[in-house]
Amino acid sequence: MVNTTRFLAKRLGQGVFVVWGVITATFFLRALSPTNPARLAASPDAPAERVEAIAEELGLNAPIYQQYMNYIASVAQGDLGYSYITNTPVTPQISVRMAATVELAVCGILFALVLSIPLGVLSATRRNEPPDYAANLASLVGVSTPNFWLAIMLVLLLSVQYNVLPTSGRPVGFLAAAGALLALNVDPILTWAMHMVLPTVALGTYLMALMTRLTRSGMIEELGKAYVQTNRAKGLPEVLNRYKHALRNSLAPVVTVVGLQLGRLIGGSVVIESVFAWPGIGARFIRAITTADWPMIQGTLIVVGLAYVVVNIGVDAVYTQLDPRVAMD
Amino acid sequence: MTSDEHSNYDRRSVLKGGAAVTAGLVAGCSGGGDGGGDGGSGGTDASDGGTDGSTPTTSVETNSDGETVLNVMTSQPNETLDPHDTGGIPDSHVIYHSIENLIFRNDQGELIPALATDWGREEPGRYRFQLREGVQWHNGDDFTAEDVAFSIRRIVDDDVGYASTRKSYIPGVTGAEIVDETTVDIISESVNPVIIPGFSAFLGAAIMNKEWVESRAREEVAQDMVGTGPFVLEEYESGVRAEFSRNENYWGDAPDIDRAIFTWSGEAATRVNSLLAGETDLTVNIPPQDVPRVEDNDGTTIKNVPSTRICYAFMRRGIEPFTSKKFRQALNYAIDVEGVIEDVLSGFGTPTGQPTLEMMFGYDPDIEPYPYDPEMATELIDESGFAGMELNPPCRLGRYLKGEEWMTAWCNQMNQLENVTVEPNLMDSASFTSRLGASGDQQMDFAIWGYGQPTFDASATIQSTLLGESIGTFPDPELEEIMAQADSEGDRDEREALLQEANRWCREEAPWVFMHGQSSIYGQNDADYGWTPRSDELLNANYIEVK
Repeated sequence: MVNTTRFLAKRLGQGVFVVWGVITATFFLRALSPTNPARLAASPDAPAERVEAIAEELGLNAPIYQQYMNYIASVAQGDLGYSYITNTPVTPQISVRMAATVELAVCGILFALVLSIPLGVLSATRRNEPPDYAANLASLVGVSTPNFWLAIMLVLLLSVQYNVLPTSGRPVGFLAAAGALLALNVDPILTWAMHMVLPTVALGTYLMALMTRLTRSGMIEELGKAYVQTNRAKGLPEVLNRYKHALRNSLAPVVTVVGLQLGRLIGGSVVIESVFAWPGIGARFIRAITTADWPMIQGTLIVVGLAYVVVNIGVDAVYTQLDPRVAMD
Repeated sequence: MTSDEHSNYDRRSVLKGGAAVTAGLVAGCSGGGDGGGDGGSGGTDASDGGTDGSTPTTSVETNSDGETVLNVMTSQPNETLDPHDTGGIPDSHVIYHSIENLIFRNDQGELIPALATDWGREEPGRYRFQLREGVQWHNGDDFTAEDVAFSIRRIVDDDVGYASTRKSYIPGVTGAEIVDETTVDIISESVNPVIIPGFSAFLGAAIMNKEWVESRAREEVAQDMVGTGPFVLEEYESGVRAEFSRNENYWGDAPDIDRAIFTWSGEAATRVNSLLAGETDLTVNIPPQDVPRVEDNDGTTIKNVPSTRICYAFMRRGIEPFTSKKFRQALNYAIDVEGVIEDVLSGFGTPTGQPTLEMMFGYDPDIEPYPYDPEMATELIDESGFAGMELNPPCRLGRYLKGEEWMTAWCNQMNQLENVTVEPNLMDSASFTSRLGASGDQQMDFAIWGYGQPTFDASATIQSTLLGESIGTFPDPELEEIMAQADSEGDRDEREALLQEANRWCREEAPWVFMHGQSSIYGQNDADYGWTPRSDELLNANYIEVK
């Protein structure tokens, strides 16, 4: 336990360093960028003195190192600054977008997990039988289908052709819908769920296919190991043998992939967000880039970096549970 | 509001020497411009929890409270609600449902009274607006002359508020003076014939509630609105969604629809699918290839209209090879404008031969676009002495209908000439914009983009893109002279003649490679709603009828 705590504390320390690195790197990039944010904040034909006045107001005329020091100081106090374009604080804008993105990422991963682990196990235990062939085919198709294509096809079929699910958008967030549910209003959560289905499937299919294959190969490997034979020889029921021992030991790679993918998805899936008009962080980030809205760009990178670090620490914590040897370094 | 009233104001303005100003508007409608636009904010997403009930009075889809709901999906997000802090159409789509100007344009492009009922020039440098009485802000405050004077100062005076991006839309204006409770004078440096085009444009002088603005931080003003307009803002999430309800206390005719919801998607396929699925009632920028899908679908239709956006390549004065008029003309002869409009834009464009579009005041109907004549082009380049030039024009991507396609097509056609090489330098919009008006090695001498302005007057485009010190590329003394006369000319006909002369000068001297006027292509639910697109690209739910 002490070992685990120390291990996680160390990871956290590294995480802070990573986030600081993100801030610093963005600042260097900004210094290299030829675009002038004041020009973009002004109208295209604003005269030079107007652009200059806006630059002054945005604090762009201070030397870059001074801007950097100011920024580090305010980030340390939890203030990510004001967007150049909207002139509103960056933090609430990011948190609203992060909520949408995290909802989608979590649903996508749950969708993948719920389907892939049973499929993978089935495939491994009925190896070279029809269920295995079917699962293999499904995962092959899933892995090789580009998600934007899948998304558009799902919309054309289920929304435009049969009109059973909405094409796009997120009229209500999960927290608001859940709140309404507590007040016995069921409509918002249904609306939320309806809008969630297609993005979740489009986002989660690839992951589901990938994890099915990982689970299958992990299980096959574990089932062939000596300890499984020993367990069988001891007369341990096959159910326990499979699920308590072999499955648990084969999950480490799956957890790794889930961690990496969750980290990636928290950065926002730009493609899925675009196709479904999903108000997530990815689309907002692209928007910030095209308008040279540096406070927004930096704020997003910091929050995403932070989220990545937290997810990785979480993954490490799960590792230490699955395999205590991980903590002993 | 009545047309009688309106013509009186027109006449009065004419008598007072403000005629030139109003003329643009009239030209606007006679020129066949009704409107429409691109980009915006807004969006869709209809399922409001439990929609879809029908009431006996209408077949239109209503929400659970029996209200008619218009779902609009635009192609760019709304990012601020502060009308003095944006130069963008996406923001304006949302803002102008709640906020109004003193004067405005209806969906036919005609000048209409809004918060002012009468206006005219008092003397050079002083323009008088008579304010509408009995108007209330959405929060119940009374609309006053104080609000008007404050709003003008907030735009033009950096010390009131901040450096507003709107200042360049009402050029020359230096301040406002309250004459009495219902009269305000707008002060400018001299005779300013572009007051009316500027004030009536949706990017012009938006009127805000002084007390409400002053009691709030800038960031709060960016996220909420209290206006006088036909719709009251109900819900807003920057860059995501805006929801309005009808203003029951509106001073004018109340809008037909009860609710309007704006969402957005940059993805054309998403907008089209949402329209076809019946979730969106109005959407912008339908790609030409998707036009048949929308047309063939039951209950949806395409509306298109020439917009106020003109697409062209500028050539900087005094920079070789553009010092040669023959070279500049040659590039105009080198491109097949009509062919590209037909093949690339599926006909959604208008060839141009002058910087002024047909719906604008000062357009000269006798000017013909340059014909496609590559042999003449080759010959002219030889004569210019600049044969063998290699040109690499930056092309602004992501903003125009099929932009990458037509820019590349035209560069290829110029490149076909044996004595010149033209390779497009495709560039994202932000990089391009930040190089506009730049000097030194960032300066662009030959570049392709599109310019749109909502004043319906030739002056704004010519002054800004050719003569302006910021992005002007051709500050020729002869043209400056003509425009200086035009912009101090109080007589409407005289001014029109001068603007037409400026346009003829531009055709002959070819400071641009003239390309096309862009069309706005909208997809609309026409089973439930009647709507006329505007050529200034603004979406305005006020003018939408429930069938």
